[in-house]
Amino acid sequence: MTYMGTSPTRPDAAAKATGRAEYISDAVRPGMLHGAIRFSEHAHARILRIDTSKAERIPGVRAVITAENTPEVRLGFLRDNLALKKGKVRQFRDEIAAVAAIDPDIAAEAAAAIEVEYEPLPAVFDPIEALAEGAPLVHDVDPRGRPVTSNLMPVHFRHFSGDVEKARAASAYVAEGEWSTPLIQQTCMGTAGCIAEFDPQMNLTVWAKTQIPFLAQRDFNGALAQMGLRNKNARVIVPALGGGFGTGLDTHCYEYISILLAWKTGKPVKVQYNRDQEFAYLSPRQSATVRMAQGCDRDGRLTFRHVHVVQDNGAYGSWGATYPSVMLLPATSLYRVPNIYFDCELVYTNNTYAQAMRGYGNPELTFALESNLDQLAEEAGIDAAQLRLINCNEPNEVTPMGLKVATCGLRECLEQTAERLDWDNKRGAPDGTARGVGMASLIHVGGSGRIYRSDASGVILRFDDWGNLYLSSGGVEMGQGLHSSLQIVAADAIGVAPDRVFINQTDTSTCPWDVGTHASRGAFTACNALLMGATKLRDKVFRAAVELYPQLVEEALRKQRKRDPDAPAPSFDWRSRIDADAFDLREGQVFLSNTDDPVLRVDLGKLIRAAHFRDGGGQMFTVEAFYDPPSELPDWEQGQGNMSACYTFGTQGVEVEVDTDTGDVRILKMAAVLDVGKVINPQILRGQTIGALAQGVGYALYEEVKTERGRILNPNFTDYKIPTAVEMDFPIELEFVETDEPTGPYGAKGIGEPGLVPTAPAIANAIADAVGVRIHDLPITPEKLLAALRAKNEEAT
Amino acid sequence: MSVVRFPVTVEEAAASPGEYRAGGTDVMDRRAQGITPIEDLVDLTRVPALRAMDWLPAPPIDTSESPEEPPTEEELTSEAEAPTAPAFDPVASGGFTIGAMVTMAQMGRSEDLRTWYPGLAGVAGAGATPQIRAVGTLAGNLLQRPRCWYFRHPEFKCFKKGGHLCYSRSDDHSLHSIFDLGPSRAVHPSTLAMVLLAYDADVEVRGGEHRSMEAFLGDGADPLRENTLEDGALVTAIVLPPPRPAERWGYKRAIARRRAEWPLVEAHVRLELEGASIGRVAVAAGAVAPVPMRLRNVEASLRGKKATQANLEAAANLAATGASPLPGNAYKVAMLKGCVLEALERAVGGGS
Ligand SMILES: Cc1cc2nc3c(=O)[nH]c(=O)nc-3n(C[C@H](O)[C@H](O)[C@H](O)COP(=O)(O)OP(=O)(O)OC[C@H]3O[C@@H](n4cnc5c(N)ncnc54)[C@H](O)[C@@H]3O)c2cc1C
Ligand code: SF4
Repeated sequence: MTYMGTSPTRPDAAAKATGRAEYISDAVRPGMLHGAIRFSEHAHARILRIDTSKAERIPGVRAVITAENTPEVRLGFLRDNLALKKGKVRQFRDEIAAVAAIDPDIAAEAAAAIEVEYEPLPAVFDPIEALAEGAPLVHDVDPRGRPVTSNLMPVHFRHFSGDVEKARAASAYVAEGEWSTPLIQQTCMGTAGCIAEFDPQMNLTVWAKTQIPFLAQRDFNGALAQMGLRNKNARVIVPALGGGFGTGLDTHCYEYISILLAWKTGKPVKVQYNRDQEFAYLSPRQSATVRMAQGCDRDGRLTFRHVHVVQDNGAYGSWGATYPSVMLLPATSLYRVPNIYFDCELVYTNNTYAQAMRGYGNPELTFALESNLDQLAEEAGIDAAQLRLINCNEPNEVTPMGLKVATCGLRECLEQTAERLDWDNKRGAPDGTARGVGMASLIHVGGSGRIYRSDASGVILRFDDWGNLYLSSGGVEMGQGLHSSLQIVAADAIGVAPDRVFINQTDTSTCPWDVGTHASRGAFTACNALLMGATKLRDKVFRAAVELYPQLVEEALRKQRKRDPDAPAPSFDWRSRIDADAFDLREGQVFLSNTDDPVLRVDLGKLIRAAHFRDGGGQMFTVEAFYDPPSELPDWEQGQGNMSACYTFGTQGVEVEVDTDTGDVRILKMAAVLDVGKVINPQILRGQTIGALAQGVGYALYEEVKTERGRILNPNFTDYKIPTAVEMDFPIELEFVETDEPTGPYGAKGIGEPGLVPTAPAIANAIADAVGVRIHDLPITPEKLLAALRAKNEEAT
Repeated sequence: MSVVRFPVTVEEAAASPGEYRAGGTDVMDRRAQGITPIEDLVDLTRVPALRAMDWLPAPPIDTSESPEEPPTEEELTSEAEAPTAPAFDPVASGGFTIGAMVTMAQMGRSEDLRTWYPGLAGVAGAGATPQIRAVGTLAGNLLQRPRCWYFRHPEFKCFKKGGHLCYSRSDDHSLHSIFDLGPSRAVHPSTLAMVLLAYDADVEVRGGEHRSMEAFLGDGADPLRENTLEDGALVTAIVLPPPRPAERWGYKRAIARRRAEWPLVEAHVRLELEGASIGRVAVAAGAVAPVPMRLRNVEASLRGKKATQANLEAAANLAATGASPLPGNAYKVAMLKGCVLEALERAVGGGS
């Protein structure tokens, strides 16, 4: 292999570095109008009256829509959300009306001129209060109009194995506690937006910032049907994406609103959020509270794990409501535990509704699990790294959830992390400083995650007449480097130079189906499909070569003789070796394997042209392949099923120093060791991992969407704090363990999300080691640390 | 519709109606956030007079007793013996003036400030972010409005916006004041105001009036404003007293993120050692009250004492005297003491 494990310049680099890549915020269509949305001013209220007359009279306004003058469009996998709200609002950002106008300022002015009269209703913002008897109901009827009696969402994820109570009673040591994680924003550098445009036949095109173009197509086609446009189609085109991080996993109200406005006006309509709007009106990652207990025997072997999760979902359901599907992975399968209880309650409240984000429930659960494990180690008097090693997952095991773990490098990850941190010398060292080290591990889907019936990716490969490879994949490049992985694998698997591989813009009209770019699956499934396609395409080329190679070589030999009558003839009888299996293709040249005589190498483009223009019927070189990983759709009520083809493991370690006067936490060093199966592009792998670590640091120390009775108080980068380069200025040691996963493309596993999963608990554990206090709710701010330190000192005196 | 005017003289600026815009980093944010009425803007970036930075002449002294002979023609033309101008001595000057429109980055780079007022240059050159420092100005920094998120949210009409309650008192006040000086618990956002308070600087208002920093900031009791500047008045400069070469300084901020943020608590110290004892000393604290505060009791407890760790600690422990924190910000009491102690230690240790 020539390109695997190298870092050729990524195909999107030049366009992005020179500002030529077209993001949705750059996109313009001829005659385009601009949409603006009028959002609710109450967290929970009945809409009594909407008066749009003033807005309609503003010059430049082309349409004003409300639920009254447009067809009802439902969205969300629970169908509990309406593009334009009717009857009542359930959160501050509920969409009540929208305007299309000739420029964004007029649209905004008109949206503000809409008058809405409300009757405020009692609201509920705390998920525990929302579950109490007599709490205000966020939804009083379900999507079918049947009365509802509780704020519990109709979604269930459970797992029970063994006998937890018996195991708890028999445990030598038990530790338990409660941990909570905040609402946070995905903070994509490219903010959300879309353009919707109908053609004269009333087929729709949507330029969407999405990670799921094909499911979005299905959703938009559903909307067209709800609008009475049956047998019409929605085409989805994905522009350059400035990050997705889960925000593109659902379709959004603003997209349906731009569709409705385009339909009303007959013009393309763009809705584009700016940064403030992105903060205020886009769904963040939900907050969760996890109660966790674990026990072990005298030798440190885990005996049970008891987990209860309460997740505040806000007012509507998005795919983010299915976080527990991924929480099940660590809950049941991180370290070996025989007896497990996992249950969760997903709750509607009048908070902003949440959606997916990188890690999808895993960081929330792992924060509790790995913090709790350190407590257990302390209870048991066993070194925390040792406790993890005692219970380490091993290759070829089947976990209580039924996950079939073939390759597993966790032991090496743990050992390497400990070594890089100088764990044995630094952990628990009574050195008089407020320094400490901590670690935490992760398990995540590494071979896609089956949450739909199909978990597949298609690929279409086509050679043009010059030997350029056109690769169409439904996977979305959102900055993570998917296109680079495809290029590298295509170059090695097919035999062309990486810069001869051209990847189509993702477009449902030209690209083959793909379930979406999430669950760290993009490179895993698309490259697997690509490998299948590569075999087919090479086969096609070699079959053509059987017929055409002799004449092309003869021609080359003739030319050579003409140039140099003394040139030696090929050293062997190449004609006798001709057979489809005897050919190879490398760097765009077709030749008989095991020869390096240049005259016997035929340019791929030449061969293709010869095949194309052949007398008596030419030929094209196009193939397709479809890969659906060998995994199962779990039974969620039982929490059973091998949801991924393989699993990614890793450990992170952190050394911190705490300023006990100011509560400032300084990270001195981080080590991240990941079992990635195989490295495809080391540069992108590093970038992806360091980016995830930075998000993990933000989650641990800085980030929180602050709300006040449902209103977001810090909708900007001044008050919502993400780590900057200054905060990330510490040594990061990255190490990739290659376990060569048999189901992975060339042995690789998915690594898109995992880097973020164990960062927060590793930091929390390091802080506990440094100053002896454990913070149970993220982010770990100076306020919380100082308060905890004070409480500890008061206890001591 | 809002008009932006670009005056080029101080007089024109003062005569133009509307809100002043210096670097615009605060005023434009507030307009976008919908918490400031959209009135006309008076942009000050083209007024050269507001960008000056210079030494002031020493106050006139009586020279009648030893009149100096004017140089003779020969003396003036003789190359070898040309008299060197008497070396300029900033210590004997009338102080240093910094124009209102000088940016934080310029202050951080200024050789004069770095040499003679390192405690000011050091803080100005390190605050906020490089982008903000490049445009954010001295006067804009002093006059920026508070960060209280209820104030910054268009839908909360609190005391500071002419309303009748303070949301932070009953709800989230984690970043708010621990000294209860008035109806609003929002802390003053300006770091430079705190530093200049420690420097005993004056604010020069158009028309020539000099107002001490303390008088300029006021007592923090009026929730509608964070200073005593009259509506429409234009700050033209800040005047620093003559430098004190023996001075050491220390600054410490507690911050939730390492950079690019307003502090949770900050403290600034200037002091002079006389032998092993502390002589002149000024200690100011920020982000703990609606105005930056001089901690006079800390200063008094240090003056004349030996600069021992025990004495510094005893003094720092007085920093929060009189504080009445709210339940959610009691952590700031310990933090204030910690910051003052650290700033004192840094000053005694040589300054940073
Ligand atoms: C991430 C971040 C972190 C920050 N951290 C800090 C910090 O730690 N400490 C700190 O002090 N600041 C901090 N800042 C604030 C920053 O320093 C200020 O935004 C900046 O100093 C304001 O300067 P400006 O020139 O842009 O003000 P402008 O926005 O132009 O003006 C601010 C106000 O002053 C008025 N004004 C300006 N000039 C005059 C004048 N000559 N006469 C009368 N009125 C005038 C304006 O009318 C306006 O009301 C931070 C900012 C950011 C974005
Ligand atoms: S602290 Fe001041 S600005 Fe904040 S809510 Fe109270 S009155 Fe308003």
